[in-house]
Amino acid sequence: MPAPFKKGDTIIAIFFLLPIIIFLSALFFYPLFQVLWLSFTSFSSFKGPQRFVGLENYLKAIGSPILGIVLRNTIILTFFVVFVDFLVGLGIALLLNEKFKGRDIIRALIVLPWAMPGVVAAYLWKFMFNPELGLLNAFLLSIGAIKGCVAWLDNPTTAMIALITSYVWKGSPFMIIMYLAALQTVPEEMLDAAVIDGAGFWQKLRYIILPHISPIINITILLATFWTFNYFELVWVMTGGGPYESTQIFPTYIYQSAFLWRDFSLASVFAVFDSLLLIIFGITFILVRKVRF
Amino acid sequence: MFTFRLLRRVLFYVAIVIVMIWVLLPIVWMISTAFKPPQEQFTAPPSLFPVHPTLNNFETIATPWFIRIFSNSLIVASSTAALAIIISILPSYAFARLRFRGKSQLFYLIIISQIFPLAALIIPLYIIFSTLNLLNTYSSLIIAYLAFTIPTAVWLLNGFVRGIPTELEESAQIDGCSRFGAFIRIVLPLLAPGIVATATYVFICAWQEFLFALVLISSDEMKTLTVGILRFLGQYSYAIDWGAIMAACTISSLPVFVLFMLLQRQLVSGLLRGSLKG
Repeated sequence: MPAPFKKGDTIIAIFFLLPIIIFLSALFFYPLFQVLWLSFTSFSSFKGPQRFVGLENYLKAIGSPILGIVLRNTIILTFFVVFVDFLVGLGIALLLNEKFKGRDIIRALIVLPWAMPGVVAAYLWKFMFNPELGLLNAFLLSIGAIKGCVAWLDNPTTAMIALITSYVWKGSPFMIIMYLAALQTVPEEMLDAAVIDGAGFWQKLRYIILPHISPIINITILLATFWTFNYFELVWVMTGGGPYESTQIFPTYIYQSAFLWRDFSLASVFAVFDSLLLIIFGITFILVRKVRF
Repeated sequence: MFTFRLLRRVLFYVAIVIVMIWVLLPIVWMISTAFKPPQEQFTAPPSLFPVHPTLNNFETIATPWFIRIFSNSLIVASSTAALAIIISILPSYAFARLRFRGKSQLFYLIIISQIFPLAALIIPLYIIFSTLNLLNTYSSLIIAYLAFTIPTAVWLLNGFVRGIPTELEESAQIDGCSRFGAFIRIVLPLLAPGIVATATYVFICAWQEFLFALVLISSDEMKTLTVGILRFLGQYSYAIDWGAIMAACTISSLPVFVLFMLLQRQLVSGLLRGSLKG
């Protein structure tokens, strides 16, 4: 058992790590303190004085109904996206883990949605859901499921479902490739032994496969939650937060209030709520699921 | 028994086909719309493949400005990738090999910094860059992208360093190499595939990025592809030229598609190694 630390190593480590610590402090930790500070001031322009206003911005935000709406939309979107991502990811990974012809090509193609820029995916799906030109309506009309053209993105409920669909399309390939790689580390002998003992598919999944790949499941769920929570361009391009704020989420609302309305104080308050929510979720998840990086 | 297995096999292939339709249909439609002449874009019901394929849409977007924003994206994404590697490589070596106080806490802190939402970071970064007069420059984008790609780069590279047997370095040190010499002569060459995979990952992240590019860049000349495409939406939403947009989307996706196809294996093994450290 080697000593937990060595003196010589510590000196080298300081040299190796100092640049990154300074860099990340300047670009990550300092800005986060700044956003916290901004949320307690009235900030109108870069030149004008910033005045400390205490909790005024917070009271204003809590008093308006939009905070609740944004909170609800973000949570609904994130929950359903991550949940469906997981199911779709695991399902497709199990499917592609079988041996069949053309498997390598299909595995390579399946990551394309994840690799493409988010804004491209957003245009694609905006086009798919387009009432007159979109493939979805064309397909539904041809099988007689709908009578006229449906404007999916103009109705609060269907807009949310449309967004969840495009998020899953864009994000689930990450789950698929991670689970596929993880499935290859499940020992064959254990699966064979289980089959000899009479285990069916579900039993193998539940007692051997899932426990074996659970570290990967934890990490992917954590990352997918952060990404979904922060993903801006799909909502921004597809619905712009509408109709009637029904798809307004934290990133779009923060962008709107800061850069369209120039209300940096309000935006900072939302940014603080956004960060707090993620930090609380992240830490709880890491502790409860004992995630290790 | 035989028919049961046949049925199972058929169902299996049906499932594969459904999955591939779900994944590829939007992409196929994007590429096919990019090659459609205007009159075919407005047919109801829309056809999946162009009847008279044309390059008109690509000619529409192939302006000097589009080439400019394409090279902007290229410059920003490759500089970010190169710098991210240079900044992350020594820290990830330190985390993988050295034994020092506070190591795991520091590692966690760097990884956990990813928890903070980028939307929250954009406000202070915008203010910082605007006071430094860095808005509308490559530097602002590169610095901002480094802030959120470096933690992942450290995480990935750390996994790759761990994959290199310690004995190789030790024997080099016994043969008279200094620690740093062993790092340069032994670790670095063996780390090359890991560096390429990590650089690819960072490149793809920077290439895709939209929010920072939207906020930090307002001049048309300095825009990157992701934000530049917005311009093809036109002023009037009823006159959207979908052919041109899909052509621009196809061009924007091409570099990352190619990179991904080439380097997928290394990338996945890196992500997995990082996750399975335990």
